[in-house]
Amino acid sequence: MEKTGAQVILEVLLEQGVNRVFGYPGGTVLNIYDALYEYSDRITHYLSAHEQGAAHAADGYARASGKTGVVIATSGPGATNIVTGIATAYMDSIPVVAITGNVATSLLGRDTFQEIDITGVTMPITKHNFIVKDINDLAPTLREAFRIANTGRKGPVLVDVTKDVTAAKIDFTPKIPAEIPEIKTNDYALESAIPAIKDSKSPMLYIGGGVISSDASQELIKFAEKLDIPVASSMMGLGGFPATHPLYVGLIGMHGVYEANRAAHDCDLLIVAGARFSDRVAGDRLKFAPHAKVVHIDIDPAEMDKNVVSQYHIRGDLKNVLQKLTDKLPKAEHKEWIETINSWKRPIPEQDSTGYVSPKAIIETLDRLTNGDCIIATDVGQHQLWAAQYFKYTFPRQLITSGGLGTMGFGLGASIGAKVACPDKKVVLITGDGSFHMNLNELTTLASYNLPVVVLLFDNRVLGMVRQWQTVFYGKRYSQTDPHRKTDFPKLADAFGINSLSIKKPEDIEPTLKKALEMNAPVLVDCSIAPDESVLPMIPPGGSVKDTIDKMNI
Amino acid sequence: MAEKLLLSALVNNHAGVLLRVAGLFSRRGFNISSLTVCETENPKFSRMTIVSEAEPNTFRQIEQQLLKLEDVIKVIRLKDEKYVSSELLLVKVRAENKDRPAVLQTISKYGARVKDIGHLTITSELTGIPSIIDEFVKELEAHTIIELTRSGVTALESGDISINDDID
Repeated sequence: MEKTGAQVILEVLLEQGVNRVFGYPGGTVLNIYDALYEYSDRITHYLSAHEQGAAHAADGYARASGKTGVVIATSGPGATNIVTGIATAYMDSIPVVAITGNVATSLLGRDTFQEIDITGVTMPITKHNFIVKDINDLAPTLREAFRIANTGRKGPVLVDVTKDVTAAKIDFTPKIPAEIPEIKTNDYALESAIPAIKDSKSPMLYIGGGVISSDASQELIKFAEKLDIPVASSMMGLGGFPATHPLYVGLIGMHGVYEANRAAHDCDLLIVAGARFSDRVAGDRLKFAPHAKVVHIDIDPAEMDKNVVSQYHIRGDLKNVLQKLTDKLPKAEHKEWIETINSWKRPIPEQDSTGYVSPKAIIETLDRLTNGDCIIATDVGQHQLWAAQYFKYTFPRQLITSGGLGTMGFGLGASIGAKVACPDKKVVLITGDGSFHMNLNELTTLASYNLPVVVLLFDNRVLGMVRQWQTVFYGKRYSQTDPHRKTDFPKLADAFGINSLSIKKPEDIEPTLKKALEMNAPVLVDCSIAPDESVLPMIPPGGSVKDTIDKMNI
Repeated sequence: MAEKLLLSALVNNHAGVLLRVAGLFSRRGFNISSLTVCETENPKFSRMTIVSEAEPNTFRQIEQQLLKLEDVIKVIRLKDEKYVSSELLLVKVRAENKDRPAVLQTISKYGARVKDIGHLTITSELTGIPSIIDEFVKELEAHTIIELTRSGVTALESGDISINDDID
């Protein structure tokens, strides 16, 4: 059937099972938007306030659903506005296909109005990218983009399409999506690691986002239970292993629990499952797990020895690797080791929140009121770490957070994407006033689509995380972190057509959260947090567990 | 201690591939001593020969990162003298009448070829392994080198094996 390039784009999206896209129209994507008008019964387009919001929404949609997120933006500023969103997805290995328009092929390279070399710009932050200048290449390129985004270690792919290609016509035949090639397990490496696992007296599992992208939660639980191995998780791994499980030790890393960091330090075997020894986990990569043999399981062979040298490199899909290991290894018990870890348990230090509300109390109440059954999206900063520390994540894709890039402003767009992906789940955005100020324009999107996201704004009137570092490392010289902003958040919500509530005293927490959760409409909850409330414990950058800070000198 | 790493990569022959490879080296902090690239016998592919200086424990990392690029089909490490390599040098040396015989003598000693003779200079060409070229250049420094250009090393595995062996 003869189709225009714009129609071909939408046909390929349908082929790939895409029925939700996020984006913003503009000059070079006019043909695509004209086709979207025609296809609106099959593809729902969510209009953001700013392209960055649309990119984060596509990312949030992918994280919550496990499907590929799609974002559409126009050339020039539209394309550059999605750059932070693409980089965020790249750092966390999230499958996103970004489609940008570009000026007509004949105008390329002439600094035409709204022309930008977006493939050049996004080269280091995409798995791969393309520019399509010939209608014959359009459908195959888009199919290839979906294949690349989902093969091996996932990630974003950008397809830049010139405007003339979207108008050109071609005979189009739909195709069944190519099967995503399985990544074969390196069985030789797997076999060689078996004796080390068998012999270990004090083994430890350190899991990461790979557990979630590989859909390996069940296999991980079986493996950990059969081998009786305690589990610590990076922020990206939260929800990959239920926090309520007796083998769960907790969050590892800079703001992880002491016992998790201590166990990683003292164990004789560290099994790293879909994690990459980020500097936020292995502060001093040369001194990380100094007594352990390290078994590194990852789908990406380039992760092996990148940060921390490991003795066993098992390349493969985590789901398959863990299944095989569980089958091949006999049941084991590590009672004494687990007791030792338990003896290291230190509660997260309590802080004085007098006159304000405690973030811990809010998050724990939220956990209780929702029975732990909601999706939490976050922005980046102190609230993000509190959300990681105090909520008990029990299922994969429950926490939507920018782990690698640490993108302030990610949360609102991401929560929109998560809600679109999971309309039947409660979605709560935990954000801070710093992050929220960055992209709060997307409140208009929440309102337009009446998406019942609960926005919990941890409002301490300061840029808390940076300020905390200034407290610890810069002699309390609070440079540009006490901005004295006058923003009236309830009024702001009102202006956007969104309900608002506030939590000013501890006794407000429960009734207000209840009300917000039952509202079934977008709502902003302004929570008064003390400006000196800190994220503790804390291992200073470059440090190890012995450098843990438990108390702030405020 | 940094050592020399010699890689040969089969890559897709289309626009932007060189930029992707060079960008990868730059953002990961890997060094490129030289890089040569041209289309192969199969117009679908180009072949790159990359010389890098790196700590030996990062050699694997460099190969693996290269392989992650969609346009990189295959990477082989050339080592232990199991390869043949060559580089091209063009060098312009001051050779006024009195110096001319000495310059020509050096050129012929290394089997280099005279490509151009000017009023005051001789431009010669030498192909060979980099160490021979280094020696030749060093010897020419006794005269005045006006300018020179080197292609960077290009290499193939020795024996009957080929990078294409398991490529469809």
